[in-house]
Amino acid sequence: MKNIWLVACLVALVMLAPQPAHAQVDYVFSYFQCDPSSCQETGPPETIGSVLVSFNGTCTGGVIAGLNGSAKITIGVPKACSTPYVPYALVETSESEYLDDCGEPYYVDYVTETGEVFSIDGITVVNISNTSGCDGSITSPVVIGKKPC
Amino acid sequence: MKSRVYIVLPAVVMMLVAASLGAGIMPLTQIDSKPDARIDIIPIDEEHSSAIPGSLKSLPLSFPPGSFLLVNRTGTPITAVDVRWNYTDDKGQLKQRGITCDAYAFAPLDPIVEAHDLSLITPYGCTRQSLFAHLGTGNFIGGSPLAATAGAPVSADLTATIHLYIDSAIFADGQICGPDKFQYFLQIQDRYLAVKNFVAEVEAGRNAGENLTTLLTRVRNDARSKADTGSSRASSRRAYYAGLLLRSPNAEGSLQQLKAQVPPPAFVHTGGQN
Repeated sequence: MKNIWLVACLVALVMLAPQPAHAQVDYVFSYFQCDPSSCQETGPPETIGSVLVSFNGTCTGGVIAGLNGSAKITIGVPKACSTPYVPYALVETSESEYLDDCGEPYYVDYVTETGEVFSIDGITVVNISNTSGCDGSITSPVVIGKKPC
Repeated sequence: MKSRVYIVLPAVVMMLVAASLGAGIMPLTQIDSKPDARIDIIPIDEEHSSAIPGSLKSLPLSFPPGSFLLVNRTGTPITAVDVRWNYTDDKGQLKQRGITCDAYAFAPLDPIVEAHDLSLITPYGCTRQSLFAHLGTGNFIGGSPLAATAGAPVSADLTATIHLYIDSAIFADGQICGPDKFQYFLQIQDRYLAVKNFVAEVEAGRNAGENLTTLLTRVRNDARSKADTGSSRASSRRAYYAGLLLRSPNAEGSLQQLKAQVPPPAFVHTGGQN
């Protein structure tokens, strides 16, 4: 009987002892899929054409359920450009480490949709990127000025 | 008979106003930016139709909700602009949307708004006045600035007012106009540093005799295995530029473009902060 009381007291002590502070949860992808599966699409040098990449992902952390989107780049629509360009669409994930109020690290996953157009000699003439995070953050799309065909 | 006239007349007037804008129904846009003598903001809506230049008004276009003209009243070009819209979407939900047009992203430095000129800013892109004629054909490399390329299109409730403010307009001499809550200039600085470090890393590898493709693949894999820390996106930028050169049709040309990156000016806030 004495032993039972001893065990009960120990259990109570453990339960009443101060618990370690919970670290901030991570906001990361538990699932991520692209179409095409390589998450990137390059067109041949062309005066008319387009490329498209789409994605969807599920996030942990409870702020948002998930993210989905696409990047589409068109060249020469509706009228063909006079010189060929190389269209490119890409979806890429990245991770950032932050520190919570207690100095504990936590992680946030981001997805960036990028549309690019290269000239034949490798010059980037169009670049559009749009980043969103599993913490619900959305960065404004960043674009360089529009250029005509 | 009279009541029919009362119903039909306002509808006809609205159609004429819409037709004169060359657009469908545009929601009213309220400017939440503090007035600043250096810039003017002219929303593309019925209320401001008289201020819209003929070169734009004459085009049979549908502008995305929230579109506006940014007028530069100074002799210094605007090289970056960070815009935010608050609006009600077609499901009645309040949304925030933004766009950043940035001339520092890739060389050469191509201003977003020239000195003493104006540009069209939409949620999808920025177009200088000299290119307005191209809006009619939509023939822009990469897609029209009147349609979404990355991210979802804006689906606004056209009966609700759209709120617009310029978080920062950055001039070529480094002046920052606007509240700058999002501190976009830090991104310009962070990216320039990342490009400079990346170019130095590539040159060092090549000087050591490493094959360019092998070098770029190594850099990209290494960068992708590391998380960014805090507000700096150094690792993801390093991975991005290595990938850019790997997928470029001419890696040497792309490298030269990165080398020609224009150093950002010393930024200074000169009004508009709260």
